[in-house]
Amino acid sequence: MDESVFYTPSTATDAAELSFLASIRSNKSHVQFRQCTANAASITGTGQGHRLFVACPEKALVQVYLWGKESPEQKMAVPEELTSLLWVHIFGAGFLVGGGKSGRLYVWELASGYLLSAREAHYQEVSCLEVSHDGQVLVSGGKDSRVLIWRLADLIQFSPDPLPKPVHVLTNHSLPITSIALTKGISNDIKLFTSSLDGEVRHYNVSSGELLTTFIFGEPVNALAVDPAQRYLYAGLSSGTIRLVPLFIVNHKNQLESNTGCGKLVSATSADDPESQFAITSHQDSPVTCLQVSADGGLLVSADSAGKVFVNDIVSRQVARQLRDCSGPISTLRLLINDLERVEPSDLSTKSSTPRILPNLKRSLISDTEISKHDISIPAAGTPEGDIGSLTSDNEHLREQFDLRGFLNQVRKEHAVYQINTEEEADVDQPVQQQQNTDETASTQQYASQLKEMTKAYNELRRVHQDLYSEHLKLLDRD
Amino acid sequence: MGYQGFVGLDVVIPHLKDNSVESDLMEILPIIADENAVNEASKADLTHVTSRAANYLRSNQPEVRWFGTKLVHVLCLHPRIIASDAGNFISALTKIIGSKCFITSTIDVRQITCLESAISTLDFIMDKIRHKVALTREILTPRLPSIVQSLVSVMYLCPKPANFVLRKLLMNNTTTLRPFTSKIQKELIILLDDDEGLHKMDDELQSLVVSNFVTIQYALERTNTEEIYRQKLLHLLIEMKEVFEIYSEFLDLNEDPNLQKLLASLPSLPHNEEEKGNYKPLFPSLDIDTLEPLDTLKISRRLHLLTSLLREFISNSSGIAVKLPLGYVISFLELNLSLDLRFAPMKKEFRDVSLKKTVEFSIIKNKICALKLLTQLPSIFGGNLLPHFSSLLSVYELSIPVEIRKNGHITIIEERVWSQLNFIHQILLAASELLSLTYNVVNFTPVLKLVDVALLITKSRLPKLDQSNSNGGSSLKRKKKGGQVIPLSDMLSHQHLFTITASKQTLAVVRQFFATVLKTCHLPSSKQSQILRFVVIDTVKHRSEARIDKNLQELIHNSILFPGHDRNSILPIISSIISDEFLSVFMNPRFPISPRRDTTEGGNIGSNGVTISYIDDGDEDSDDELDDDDSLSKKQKTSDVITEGVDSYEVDTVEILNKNDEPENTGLNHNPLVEQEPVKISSWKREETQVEVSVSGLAKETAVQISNEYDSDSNSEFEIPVIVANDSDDDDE
Repeated sequence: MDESVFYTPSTATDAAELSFLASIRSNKSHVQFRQCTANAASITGTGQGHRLFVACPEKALVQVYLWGKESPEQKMAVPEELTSLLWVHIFGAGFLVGGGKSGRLYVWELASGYLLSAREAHYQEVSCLEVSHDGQVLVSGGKDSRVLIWRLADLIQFSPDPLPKPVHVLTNHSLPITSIALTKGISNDIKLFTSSLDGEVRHYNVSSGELLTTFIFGEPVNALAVDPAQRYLYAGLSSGTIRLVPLFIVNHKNQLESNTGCGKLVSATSADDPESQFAITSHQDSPVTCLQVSADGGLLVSADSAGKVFVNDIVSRQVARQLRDCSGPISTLRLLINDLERVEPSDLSTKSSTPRILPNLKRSLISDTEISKHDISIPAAGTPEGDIGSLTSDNEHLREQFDLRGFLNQVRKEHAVYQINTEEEADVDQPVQQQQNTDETASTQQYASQLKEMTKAYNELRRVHQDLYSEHLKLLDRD
Repeated sequence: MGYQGFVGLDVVIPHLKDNSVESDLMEILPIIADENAVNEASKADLTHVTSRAANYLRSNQPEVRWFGTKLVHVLCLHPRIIASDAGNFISALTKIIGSKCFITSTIDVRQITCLESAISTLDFIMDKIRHKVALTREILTPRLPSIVQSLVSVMYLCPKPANFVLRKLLMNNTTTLRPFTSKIQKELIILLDDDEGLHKMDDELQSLVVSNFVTIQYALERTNTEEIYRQKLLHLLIEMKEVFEIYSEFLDLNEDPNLQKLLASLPSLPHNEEEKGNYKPLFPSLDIDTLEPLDTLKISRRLHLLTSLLREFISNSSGIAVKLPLGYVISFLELNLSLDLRFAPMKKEFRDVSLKKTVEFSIIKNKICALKLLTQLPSIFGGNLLPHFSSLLSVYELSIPVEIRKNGHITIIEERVWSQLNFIHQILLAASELLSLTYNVVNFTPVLKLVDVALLITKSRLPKLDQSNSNGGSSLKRKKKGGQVIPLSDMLSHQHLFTITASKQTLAVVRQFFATVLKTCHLPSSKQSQILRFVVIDTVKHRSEARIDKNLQELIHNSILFPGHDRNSILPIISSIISDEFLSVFMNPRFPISPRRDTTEGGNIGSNGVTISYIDDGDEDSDDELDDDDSLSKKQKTSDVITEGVDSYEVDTVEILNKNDEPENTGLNHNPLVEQEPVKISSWKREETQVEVSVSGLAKETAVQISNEYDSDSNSEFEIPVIVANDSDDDDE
């Protein structure tokens, strides 16, 4: 197992600018993608069959890359330039959510390419999108400083009536939203963190929309990340500093208590931490643009507007590794857990079941005739896990150990069939045979005696016949 | 199994003389199965055994052949034998199967057993060879045509094993099987016997036969597989629609506009002559006599067969990339569920009550069949089904038998629910599968009726008494004289003995449904309370069981995890009734972290320059651990280590540290934050460092020796006893 980071720049001096997918724990660089600058990008995973979707800057275009190929596999026209893009995976089905420059929110079904929803969501461009780990809650943040919480299922209904509305509209920020982070948990427990250029990070309960905490940083917050176990909040500031805010603290009675909730205000400005105990300063003066925490919560991957990407050790606040630079500001940074050493079952199969080409993304909303057909590609395009699963089941027997005990039981059971039949033959057939033998002897004797009688009668008849014949000859001679 | 040792093959050889079946297979097989026995055996012994096994297979007697198949099965466990003799074995087994074990007119169970065993062994050998390139090329591929031919010839004798092997071949060897398409199809049609054969098969065989039948429709095509798949699927849907429309002979389908709309949305017979020529129904037309009520069940039987084929089509087990018209499939299933005599009444010319009842019965059968497929759709299509979520949920709601009373209230017709219990089960199952695709369903109105019907079927009830018997004393007296009312008297005096309670199956279905509903819908308080009441009663009823059913456990967990709008938790009552580890987390809430390690400027500096201090968060659990006698003794011992240097504990620590030693990533790749054990350090590679310790605001300086690595190993014997409360609050104080 390894953890890799995918990052892509938003602008580039070189037309053939690369995006990278590299390990954060070793010097390995897994793949790179050419001509890949993006307003936003979303990668489905690592390994065969996975894809990368890229929203091109200044073009109404989405580029699709296939794992293993450096150049784009498909270029799909979309209704407008997308400023944010997110691949969502719900129960084996892939959806693509895009936020437009006009503030519209688009949802496409990847298996059919149908545009299921095109909602006017924000008054200005959609700056960030995030989805809950179960794919049910979608949160969009806009430059209009609003945050909208959606039920994704509402947005992917055919001809919904009435039109879907956001579950909650959060308007606490006063400047554009820059980043969103959602915590994991059951639907009632999911928490939302939003950052804004107004220098605040706000913390909400997703199911109720209630504001739980406000973190004040005193300078624009560009990026945001939360520890997987919700122990720390990390905020990337425009000054280049990354601030760590503990979400649990030890109080004056030496007891652990939550640092959040009940509308609490938490100040995390540089004045509160003059010795920079809770700060990472690896980016110096370049504004931090993206932040992600590793799965074990020990490493913080950060990127800045100068195109630098650092892997920071959270304990020591020091740089553990610097990844290859990009020439422009990093717009997207995603951490992915991968197991690239593992041989996929699809490699064993001679058939390639993953469709290479996705249906083109439609530019107009789904029509009635399309609803009645609802043509989808299977195996589901854009969801490599699905077809890997089906192949695994096919090859499972290869790994199964031979169950000798079960086999011997089966042999015992089948052997009983022969034993019963043999015994039956021994018990039942033999007396019948013996009886048959006795019957045969009796009948032979009977036939023998009959034959004897008949031979005797025949001989008698023959004698009479011969006598009569000789008499006849005598009479002829006399004549 | 008692066999543990290693016995050589030479011991077995004398027992395999002259095709004797007297030896005990139970003793021979484990010896042959032993890897060591084969690996250590001389080449001569091995050849001896394999040639004897081949001799067995060549015999004319079924028992000897069967004996041989078992020997070969176990012999082929070993790659050494597979490499040398698999080809011969496959040929011999194919010969046995091809000869049908000399079955002519009368079928003997011994011959069938031998045949099945031969097919199973052949399958085993092929599995061992499959995906190994050279072996497949040299041994399997040249013999495949004869194997397929022999399997097809015994399909009517051993349908299950033959179809099982054929299914694998259809998935993996499409090119070789291409010439046999029509032969296999012919045999399968004989097995299916139109629609008479299918319902005589068990579930496993049904699935195998249907799967093979569907796969050969499109998967063996050389080109345009996707188009052929789509065309065949559309033709199947047309055929299904045609069969469904037979109901228009009995029912006035025009009365139901919704039904008409659904019918119109489905694909129809092509008007184009050329396309019409291409359309060929899979099965011959049905012959139905309107005067014979039972004949209407033929429609259900045919629809069952076609729906099974449809299921196989859409699950696309061959894994070929195809385009599937999901909308049509769902429309057809909705059509099946929407047909109801309430909205599409019997035509006036049919006044026979028995015919009406049979038609109704066959419609319910179709609905159950459609619901079974709908239950599987979420697992096949997952999120792609979400666009159809609302319409499907409404159809499920409409399927519940209800009546509108004079006061305008809609009530469930209990009698019909009891008579169609299986159908209701299927509705609830399908609904819970569909609901599990989402959460926080906004429009939960359809769910309310489903909750009502689920609560209804869990209630106990009395069997319906004959009105003529129970009404009035005179009739009772009259009957008494005849002596026919004795059982009835019991029913009146000991009613509880006749109570019909919810079956296990009903409970399982309802629990699954409620568990999903609690998770996905924020129901109104009244409904939520009704469900929670059921949960409590159900838990009380089953509290004494040694192990609580998984579905009940899930329901209990969900009722606590998702309290909905209702703020009255059932946690206290449930925890009083049963003991469940899961509930402990709710009764003893805790923060996600316990001890943690943090950095401060004034902390210790390790050899790698990392600044460290140790903070105890005051968590009760960790305090308890520290207060334990063991911990105290460990602390004592640790301080001993600090002052005296190496003691007996150091040996263990060194061993553990050596195991976890990662010199390359020292300190940086390691994450101390995720540690759940109290902070521990070892004396290995120790050096003098300073740890700033402050407890309750008091700072102490203690010289300790720590490792230059962050040892997170919980097995480490040494721990730091000091606690630092190092946060802003303390600083303020």
